[in-house]
Amino acid sequence: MQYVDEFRDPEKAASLLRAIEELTRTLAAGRDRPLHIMEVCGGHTHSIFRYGISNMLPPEIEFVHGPGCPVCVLPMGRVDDCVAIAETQGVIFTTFGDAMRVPGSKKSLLQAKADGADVRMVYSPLDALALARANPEREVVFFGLGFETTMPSTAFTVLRAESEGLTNFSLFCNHITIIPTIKAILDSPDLHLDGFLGPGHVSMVIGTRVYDFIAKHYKRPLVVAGFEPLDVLHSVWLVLKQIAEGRCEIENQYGRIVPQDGNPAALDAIAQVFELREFFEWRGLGSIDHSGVRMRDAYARFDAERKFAMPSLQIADPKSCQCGEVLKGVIKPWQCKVYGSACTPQMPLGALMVSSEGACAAYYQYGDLEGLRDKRAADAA
Amino acid sequence: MIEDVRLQALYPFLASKRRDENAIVTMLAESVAGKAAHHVSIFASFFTTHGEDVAAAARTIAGTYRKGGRCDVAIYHILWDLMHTLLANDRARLADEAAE
Repeated sequence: MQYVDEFRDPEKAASLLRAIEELTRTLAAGRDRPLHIMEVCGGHTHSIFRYGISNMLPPEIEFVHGPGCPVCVLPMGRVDDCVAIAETQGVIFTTFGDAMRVPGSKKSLLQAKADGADVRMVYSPLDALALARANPEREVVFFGLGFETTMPSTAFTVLRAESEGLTNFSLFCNHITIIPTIKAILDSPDLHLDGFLGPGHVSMVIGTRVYDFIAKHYKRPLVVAGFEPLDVLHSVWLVLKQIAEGRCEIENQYGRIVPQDGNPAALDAIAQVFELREFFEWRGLGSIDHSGVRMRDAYARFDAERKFAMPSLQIADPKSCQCGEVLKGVIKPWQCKVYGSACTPQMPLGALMVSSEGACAAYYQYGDLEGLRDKRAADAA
Repeated sequence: MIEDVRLQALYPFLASKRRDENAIVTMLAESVAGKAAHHVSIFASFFTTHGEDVAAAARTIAGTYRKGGRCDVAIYHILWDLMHTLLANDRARLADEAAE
């Protein structure tokens, strides 16, 4: 398959691995800890486990899984708000599939659906708009979530609803921005990161210049990376090469998709419909300034937050759930007390076990479960 | 610094100029000094305005304890907030001292 097979070539992978091993030998000498590379995006976490990349790399390289899975960082209180809207008489509540199973404090959207709420899975916000057209007597709400990647499609949907004069469509906006969160991670004293794999899809919208502060002020290399195995290996090699040469730069490995200045039409739509919130609550990371957007006053009639009464409470995660520590990279998924026992993809307790981009789900699906159990038992002993 | 206004709106911290660190330290020191002065002035003005009332309440409590009885809950709470660390030991003696 064109544009796929070329990036899964075993011979090229072997050649990249040799180059990585060679660089690692030089870099690891005299170091008292592994090289920590954070893959910011949940899509990279998924690729790393799906293709077994973490097992191919030398043990001196450790991936730290970043907060780039929007479903995983959604706080419980927001899920409760969704359930409250979905259970409002006359509402058709629409959302992407992976958001349906995220646990709220009392129930998930899937459980609300089982209890009688009209919750429907859609593949695009435009599907929600089609439902609004087909059901003029019902209020159709789209649960908009995701990073800068999904913001444009939501913004364009709102603009289309406006141009069509629809009055029964609204958006529950939970879009978040990744850049302030990377800054918050860099400001965190808990984490010692040596470099970053930058998010590919987000960068397709916002470009690569926005990362300059990471190299300039925090002196960390960042390589915007693609999602195929060779993309990830090539990007790891580029990060290591920068470290070995004492450089800190922003490089774009995913040039076939990511333009330096992003996508102007997408940025226009975002700017037209959304404005920054003062702060947004992230699961496990707490409140981060300017890390989310809401709808501008001009689009208030499409804003579910203004149309519906909802609890809007801050709900703490269950005590046994350690999603927060995993999200911050303080522990690995398998070190969580309930990983693989009380919390599985079939019965998730924490959000990281829900989405395929969540670190816990990726470990569970592709990891060596027996080996991880042995590791955990050894740690406990 | 980012020049695209759409990105500046999305990430305002990228548009802000890096501040002079010495100026920030000076501003911080001025802010702390200002807050401390305000704190002291509140205490001073409180006792200027309410000092007599506090002393009278303390005398009432001291007298009540001496007689082995209980005092008015509202007065007790006001004084407890002010002097709870002192009241931990000999309540009657310390209440007397506060009244003085």
